[in-house]
Amino acid sequence: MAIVAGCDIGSVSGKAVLFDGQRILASAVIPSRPLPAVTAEEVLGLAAGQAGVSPGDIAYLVGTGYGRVKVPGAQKTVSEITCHARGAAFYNRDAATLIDVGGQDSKVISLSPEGSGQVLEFSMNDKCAAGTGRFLEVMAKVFEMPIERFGGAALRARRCLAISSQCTVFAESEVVCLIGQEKDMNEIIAGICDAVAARVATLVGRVTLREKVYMSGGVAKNQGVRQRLESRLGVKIWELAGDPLIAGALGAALIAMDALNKQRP
Amino acid sequence: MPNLKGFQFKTYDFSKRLDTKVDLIEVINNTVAKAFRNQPEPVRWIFEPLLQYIDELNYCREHPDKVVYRHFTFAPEMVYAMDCVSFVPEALTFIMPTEYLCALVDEGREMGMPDHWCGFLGGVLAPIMYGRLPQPKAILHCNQPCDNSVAQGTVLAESYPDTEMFILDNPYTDDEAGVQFCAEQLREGFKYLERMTGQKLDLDRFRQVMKNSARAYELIYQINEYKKAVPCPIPTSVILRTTSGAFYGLTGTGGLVQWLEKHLADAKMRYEKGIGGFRQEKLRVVWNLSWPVFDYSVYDWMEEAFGAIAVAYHSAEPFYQPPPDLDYSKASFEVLLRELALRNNNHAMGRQGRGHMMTFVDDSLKWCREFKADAGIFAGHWQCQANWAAAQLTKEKLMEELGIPMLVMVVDQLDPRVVSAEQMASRMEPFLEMVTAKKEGSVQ
Ligand code: SF4
Repeated sequence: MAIVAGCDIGSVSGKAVLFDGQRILASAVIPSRPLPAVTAEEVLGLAAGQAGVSPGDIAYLVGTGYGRVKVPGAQKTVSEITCHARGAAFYNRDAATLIDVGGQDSKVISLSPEGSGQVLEFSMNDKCAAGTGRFLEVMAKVFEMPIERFGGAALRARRCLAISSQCTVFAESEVVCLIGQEKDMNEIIAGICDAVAARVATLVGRVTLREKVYMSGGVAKNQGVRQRLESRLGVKIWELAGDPLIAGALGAALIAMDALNKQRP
Repeated sequence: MPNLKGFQFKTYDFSKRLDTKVDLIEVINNTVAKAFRNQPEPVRWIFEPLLQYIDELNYCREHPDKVVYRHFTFAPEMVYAMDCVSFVPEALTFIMPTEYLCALVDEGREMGMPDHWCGFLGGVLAPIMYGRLPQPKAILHCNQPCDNSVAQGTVLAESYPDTEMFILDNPYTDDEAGVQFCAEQLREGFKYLERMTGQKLDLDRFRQVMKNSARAYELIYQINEYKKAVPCPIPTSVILRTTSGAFYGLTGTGGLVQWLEKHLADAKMRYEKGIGGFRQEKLRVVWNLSWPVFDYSVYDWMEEAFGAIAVAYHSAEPFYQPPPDLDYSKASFEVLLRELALRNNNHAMGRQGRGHMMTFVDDSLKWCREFKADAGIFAGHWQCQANWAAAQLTKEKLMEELGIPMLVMVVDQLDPRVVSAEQMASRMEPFLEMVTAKKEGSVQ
């Protein structure tokens, strides 16, 4: 049984998936280290350990994410867009639109209807922190609150306060101002989640929106952003059947398996 | 398989601020001109139009009475017909080393140039305002293709207060009324040039210039027939770098005709031998607006990683077709004037910056269809306003009518600090992966 791996080195975290052609053998997620190569080595080692194999047993390795070219030993590199699409279609064959909101960028991918994970069109924001996990992170710091609690807080809000600034830096001052005015914290957080959703909705507007719509990336776990996005787009956003955080690494592993199969006589 | 690994894009050293108060033409002579002349024999011919233009720049320094500033969308035939030299200030930004361009953009900003000026215009603002360029005898300007360029007209007027300007109002329509509208203005333009230069228009010279120009157009149409072949026999670097450059600035000259004859012979030879411009063509791309010129390694990356070649640069493709039976040696001034108006209305970048938005969209469709493109890339500066209005519609039409996708991205053609080659590649990578998968009918 050949083992392949996908390694997704993002700006916030490194992810690795080991795959045997049928199922995910192991996966790991770690915070990104300063050097992408170190992140890759660590996260791959961790996943391999979980699967009870050594990194040397990996027959084919594909790197993805912004640090993809730095993944030691990767036989090829593939963009996050292609990998996320493959990973999402593996989890849910009926995925027609994938919204991936990561730590540093966000993208919307339109997938082919037959469930192969082929990309039909996409739009991306990799220039501006608004509409990404980074925006939420900055705001979580303002509240001195773990980011994981943000989603729940937003859901508890009775209404959503408007954050009008598009830029993270200005929005931060706006939030500080609202806190100073002793506005309800949950309502401010709901406003923050809505600001992210508004930016992502603009990206969605650049592709043909088809259902079912799924979400991946770290922000997919934030219920507050998901709910605001659903209401802005007027569609239900489904949870992927597997961990959305590793969808990119999984896609890379699937591509690795294809490449290995092509190499075989 | 696509792989960014190990690919080295061009690097720049911006740590030292270059002295911009220098003779820019001399800088060009000592850098790019030398590099072009030192190209190995088999490819040196490719750079001839650029060298021809550099020679013209040098001629301007020695013959100040011949210098006519020409806006880049103005057909150059008029200037050559007057036996003058067409000096396009922006052409300097196009060929000068990137480090100089960036230093000049910075100098322009320090003088108050707004951030939204592109490097193409912004790189010559300071040299114009500080009088570092050859003084013009006359200035031909026009009201397109964008507001930055119109604002540059004001800069020219203020910087050369003793040189009256001629501003062409380009027509909106493409019909006979539009041609006549332009022709009547060009008639006045000739009178203006006669007054400013003190020279009379020589009809025989005008005839010869128009004949050269017609021949250049005929040749480029023949070359384009070869571009339709799969594999395309003409390398990307020739298509983007020189053909377009030549069509911006040299129509009407004998030098361009000679070069295009060589170009055609080369294309024919390669076509007959089945030699592609790139050894393994897989994808054919049309650049729908502008194309980055600060780092040609981005095109090498596209070829190496995806086998993606450029088959056309929309804004420099020819739309004017000379009438086949026109005897230029006997043509009257009126006939020549009408032909010149037609050329002017269809001049590279001029046609794309004026008139109805559907002209841009339909032209994109035309080139993508004719050159069998697998994808379009719309790359432009955010201030190329009119064209951005057409971007989404072009994208939709390409998909609807040809089933091909178009990537839209912001670039500054000349200033890598806006979007670097690496950033461009990271945008193009998923796009080209998608196009590859679609073409091969398989998933990555
Ligand atoms: S059209 Fe665009 S690139 Fe051309 S001069 Fe205007 S802003 Fe610059």
